[in-house]
Amino acid sequence: MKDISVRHDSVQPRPEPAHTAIRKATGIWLALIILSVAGACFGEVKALTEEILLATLIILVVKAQLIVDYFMGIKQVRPLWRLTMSGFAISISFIVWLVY
Amino acid sequence: MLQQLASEPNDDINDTCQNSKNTGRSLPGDLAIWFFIYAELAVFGILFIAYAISRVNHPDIFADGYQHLNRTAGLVNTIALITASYFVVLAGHFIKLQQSKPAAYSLLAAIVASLLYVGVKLFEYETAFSAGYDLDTNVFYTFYFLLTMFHFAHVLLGMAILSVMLFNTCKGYYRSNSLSGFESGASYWHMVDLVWVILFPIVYVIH
Repeated sequence: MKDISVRHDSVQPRPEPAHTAIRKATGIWLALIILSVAGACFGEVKALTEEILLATLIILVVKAQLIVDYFMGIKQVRPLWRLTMSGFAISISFIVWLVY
Repeated sequence: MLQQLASEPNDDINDTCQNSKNTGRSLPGDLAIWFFIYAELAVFGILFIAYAISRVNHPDIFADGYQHLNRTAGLVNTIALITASYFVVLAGHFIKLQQSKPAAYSLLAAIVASLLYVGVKLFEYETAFSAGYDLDTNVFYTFYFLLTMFHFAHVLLGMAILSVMLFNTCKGYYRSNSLSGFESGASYWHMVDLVWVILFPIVYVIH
């Protein structure tokens, strides 16, 4: 029992990183809102040009990456997990780019 | 899955081991939820690809259908889901700081934000149905309703999970060293957000 309680103490996170993480999450949230509004503006353009399609897909990938890295919190996990999760948005965007 | 969310204090030893791994390079939450998430993403991925291919095969139908979509509603829903995800992240950090009350308020805010999504989405459906559009109207509306309703169902499940997480937070089941259940639920919710972030530009923006 004594051994277990020592292990509990050893994994207690420090308050400072959590406060920093809250500030970072707020920054990410703001970035996502700005990117969403910017991306939605492309929907108001009458004709879909290659540039607009590319810009929309880049915004999509950046937003997805921000969610994967900072909201899901898998930036620090093994690269394979991160790669597969990031690869989802990238591959969908790439297919849309090819097909359209 | 709901059982995973209610990791009791008795599970401390296992959760300590789990979190020890998390501070290394393992996924947050339970591994099983990640297999579930990947399976869900695979289904959505197939639907997105099918939508894109159908759009190329029926450009006129999709162009006409696009004109009737409410892009403002889509943007509001995007902001609502991103904000809900943000509050879930905040709740996780507050639990790590051992502050149950702000964590509970954050989860409540996440549920309120997701309720905004539900309200706007129901308004969209009501508008479409009253205008005479449904699943059988044409291939665009088949995909529109299929994609958005499938996602809508995931949001409802996510809200149920958030409610369980709120209940557990209020009861003090989550601790800074016992977060596996919380992280599993949060990961599911972020997946719902991630899918919408891809769905919104593909269906509402690109035309």
